Amino acid sequence: MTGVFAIVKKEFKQIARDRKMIPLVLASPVFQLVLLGYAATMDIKEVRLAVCDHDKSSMSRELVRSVVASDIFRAVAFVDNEDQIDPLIASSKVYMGLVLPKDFEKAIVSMKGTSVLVVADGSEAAKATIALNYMQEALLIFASEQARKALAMVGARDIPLIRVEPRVFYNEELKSRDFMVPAVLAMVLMVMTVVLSSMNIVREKEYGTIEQLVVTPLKGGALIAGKLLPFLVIGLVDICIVVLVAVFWFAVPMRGSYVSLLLASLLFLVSTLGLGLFVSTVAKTQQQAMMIAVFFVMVPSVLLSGFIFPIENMPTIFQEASRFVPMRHYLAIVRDLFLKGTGLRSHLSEVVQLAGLGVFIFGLAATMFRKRVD
Amino acid sequence: MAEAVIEAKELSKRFGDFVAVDRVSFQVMAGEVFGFLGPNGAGKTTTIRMLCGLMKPSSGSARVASHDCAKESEKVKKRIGYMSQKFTLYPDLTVRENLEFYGSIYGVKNLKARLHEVIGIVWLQGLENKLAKDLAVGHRQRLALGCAIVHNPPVLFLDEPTSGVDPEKRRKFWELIYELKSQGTTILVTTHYMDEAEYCERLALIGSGRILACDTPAAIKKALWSVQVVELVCEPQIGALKVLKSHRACLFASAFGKAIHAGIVGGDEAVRSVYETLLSNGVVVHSTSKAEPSLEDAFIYLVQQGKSS
Amino acid sequence: MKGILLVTWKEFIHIARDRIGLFIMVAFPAITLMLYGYALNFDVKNVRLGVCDLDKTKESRAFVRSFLAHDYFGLVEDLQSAEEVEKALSHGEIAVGIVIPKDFGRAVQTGKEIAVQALIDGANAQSANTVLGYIKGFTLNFVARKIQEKLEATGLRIGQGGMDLRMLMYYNPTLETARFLVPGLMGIVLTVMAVVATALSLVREKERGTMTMLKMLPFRAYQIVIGKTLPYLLFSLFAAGLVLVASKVLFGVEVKGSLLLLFSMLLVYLFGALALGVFISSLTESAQVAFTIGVTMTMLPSFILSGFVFPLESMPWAVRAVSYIVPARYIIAIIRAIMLKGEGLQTFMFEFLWLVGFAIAMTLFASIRVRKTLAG
Repeated sequence: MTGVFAIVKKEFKQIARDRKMIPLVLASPVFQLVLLGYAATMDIKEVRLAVCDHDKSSMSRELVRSVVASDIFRAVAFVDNEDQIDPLIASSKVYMGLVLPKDFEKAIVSMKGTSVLVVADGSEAAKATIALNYMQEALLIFASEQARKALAMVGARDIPLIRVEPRVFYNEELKSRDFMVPAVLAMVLMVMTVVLSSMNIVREKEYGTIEQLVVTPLKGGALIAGKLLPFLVIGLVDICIVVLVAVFWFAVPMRGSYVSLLLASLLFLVSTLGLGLFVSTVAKTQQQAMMIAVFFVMVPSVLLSGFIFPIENMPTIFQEASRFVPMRHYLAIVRDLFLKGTGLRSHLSEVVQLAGLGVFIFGLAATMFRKRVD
Repeated sequence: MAEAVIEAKELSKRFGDFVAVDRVSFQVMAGEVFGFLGPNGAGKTTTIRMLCGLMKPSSGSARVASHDCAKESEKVKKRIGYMSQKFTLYPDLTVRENLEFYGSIYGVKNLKARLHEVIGIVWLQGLENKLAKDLAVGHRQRLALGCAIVHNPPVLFLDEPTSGVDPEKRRKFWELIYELKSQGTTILVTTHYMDEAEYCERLALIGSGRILACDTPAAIKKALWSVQVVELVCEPQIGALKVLKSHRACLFASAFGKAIHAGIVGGDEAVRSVYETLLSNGVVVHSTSKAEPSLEDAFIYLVQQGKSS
Repeated sequence: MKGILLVTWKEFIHIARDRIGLFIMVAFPAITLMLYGYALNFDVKNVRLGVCDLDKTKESRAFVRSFLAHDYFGLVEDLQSAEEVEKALSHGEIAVGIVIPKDFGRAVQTGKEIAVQALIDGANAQSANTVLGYIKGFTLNFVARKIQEKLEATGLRIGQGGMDLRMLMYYNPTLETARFLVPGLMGIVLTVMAVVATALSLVREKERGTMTMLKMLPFRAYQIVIGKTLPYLLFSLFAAGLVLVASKVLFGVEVKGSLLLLFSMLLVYLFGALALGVFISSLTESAQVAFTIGVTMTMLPSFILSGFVFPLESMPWAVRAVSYIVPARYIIAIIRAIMLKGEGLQTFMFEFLWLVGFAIAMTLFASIRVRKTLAG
């Protein structure tokens, strides 16, 4: 036991001596939080629209007005010919184009068919999908209004109107931020602890100090515990910082219990530290450790955990593969903790998977470490 | 009979087909300063690793401080101190912090007092708060020694402790070693410096994983009593070496700077015959003199013996 | 010039010794693309729907069926009450629940107004918006069909009526996510790779103590910086090439514009990114610090602030301002322009100049720091 304490003391001394490390540990979570907190939004606004109105009737003008009524679309160009739209999109001056044909009003009023053309810059597909959805909705609403009016004029009665009354749960204003900020917590934790733990033991290998340690009666388990405990502490400190900023600065609701948050985070930390330890054992130099950690741990965590891309949309293979990414489970638990207030009991399966992963990874890493040392 | 503090019996280590250590056997008694002499790659470090409990032997056994190195390696580690060839301490910790760290690992009681003591023993007073990476090479070696003795082990393994240190500082270091010996520590030192080997009480000569000789330096040198060592300055040197090596009576010949040391068997007649052969082969002999067989001569002789046997 | 080549050569040997690292550096961008190109998708499909039909008439059942016609909605649960719907939402069993009130069928038949409740899990705002849009759209379609039926029933002969909406997606006709992902992923992965490759280059020297040796050799600071950047440039370009091959072979994404132009742009970009890594490397003596800074500066900003996922126009101006110094933003725009639109240099002149400036600036900053270190 004294061995563990001696190592913990040494690690803290080394971290403290590295003058840039402490500010980094404290500042980088805040930095990432602020970035993501303010930047992460899928709401689009002021999409630049080019309008080509061949009809120039009062109805066509009304259509255009209704489309730009909300601030989602902004008509920045009015062209006489639809060919003029293409170069505007190519040079990214305009993002979408709306083309209304001649005789538009006449066709609508007489209930004959007519066709409206919408072109969009598909090279930014995320934005395009959202924009198109809004455009479609605006046009459909316009169309059904016109149909209603026309039918009323013809004397048709009994036309139903179904209204959809949305009730949004957990995020009434549909702010992306509340969804993203808990995710940043996971991200910050993961990055910090993986960086620290993956570099640490390789450094002893590179310096050769591991040789001197091996000759002492210090057991492998004590060495691991001693080295990872300081990082656990740092991880917990980072959690506190992130939660403070999230709740008090960004006003993200925290509806769940902090105890559950702590427990889940501890479980998560076991996985990340285990992963870092594993990388540290396998890599021969710090450079290698860095590359392996980034590509085998961090990138998958960001892309497969549901952080940005929803897991439900992935092909089944990837959905299953993401079960092996600890961040996926932690993220699910943490997001619901903040927004829904549901505790660990509702997420029993995630907790179990997270714990299982943690134990497995850590055990594997520790075994490999002992083997290498001997 | 007193039990040997370090004992190796037919200790061997194979890496695949390569035999790094070949049936090495020797004993070191309590309080001895024992030397391991041999060129790089001879198997010194591998042997030490097995003795420290770091590596399991392929065959044979070793005991240190009454414990079996392979089976009771944990107990062995508690009773030994190890100083590596390379600098293996923490460059970003101070002298005091490094010592304190190892002291805690070994569970040293009254750590503060002991630290003070150790700093005194290895002459690092005034440098306690200097970062290890800012130390001069000589001071670094002493710090490494300090970390090796912080827990007062009865046995010390020093692997090439003075490599890279100038002769003046080397001498000082050996004073330290004998200081420790006088306190009862048993010390095993590996080195490839011949002059350092003379400082040891007993020596084991290692070549190609085998022990070539194991005795006091004086006794080893005496092994060459039947061999007449002659020091020659010849021209051309290479040609001379060729002639000597192919001469029947010449056991060994090698260059030492400008001169050649040749070991000749068979008394003065043989010596004359060798000179004649040299001259008849167009070699000009500038000077000759009889030389005391040095440890190096002995070593080369023994290595060659080892090769031929 | 000679000085640069010497440093380059030494660095080259160093890289060649680390086979694993080299493999990762060259192969992994392409592997990342291959994997995640298949995995990542923005489409919201197979939404878990819960239905609480309090009416249970022909109309209400037809209404529900209309939602299931396509694969927008997946798993459907039949729930008995609004409370059950709420519970299912909170447990995450469904993402949205529709509550059809008791008089739905009658209202549709007699032409009255009726409200259907949609209870949506708003946690993921974007999906929630999309789902709401689907529901509104399907509802409108249902109403339109009902109107049609009525009109036919009354024998009124009116034209097909209605407005047909034609939509065209330029550059990405089928709105395949892959087409859009490739430039984005490429930009991000190459950025991360480049910075990670060089972030430890100087730290290594400091840790080993070879920095002191460097101090004694007659190298100028900029020679060291450029010399350490060049060898990685070669490998990074190769990695980029592999990514392009992978995107063509696996996703059928071709480079519409000039390949030469694309590679020239990548060259400038990679040089800047590598120099950024060297700069980070010059800031500290500890590998941990360099790693942390490197990852924090590249991974998240490249994802979030480059326009890859989150539209830049929607961000508050302060954050948008920061995005102007995220290099990934520019290269992604350029890659998109060349690969998907086939545009030429004049379209993205601003982005190009920025990248050139970035490369110069990074080299400059790094050189200044290195000069300080050499002198100190």
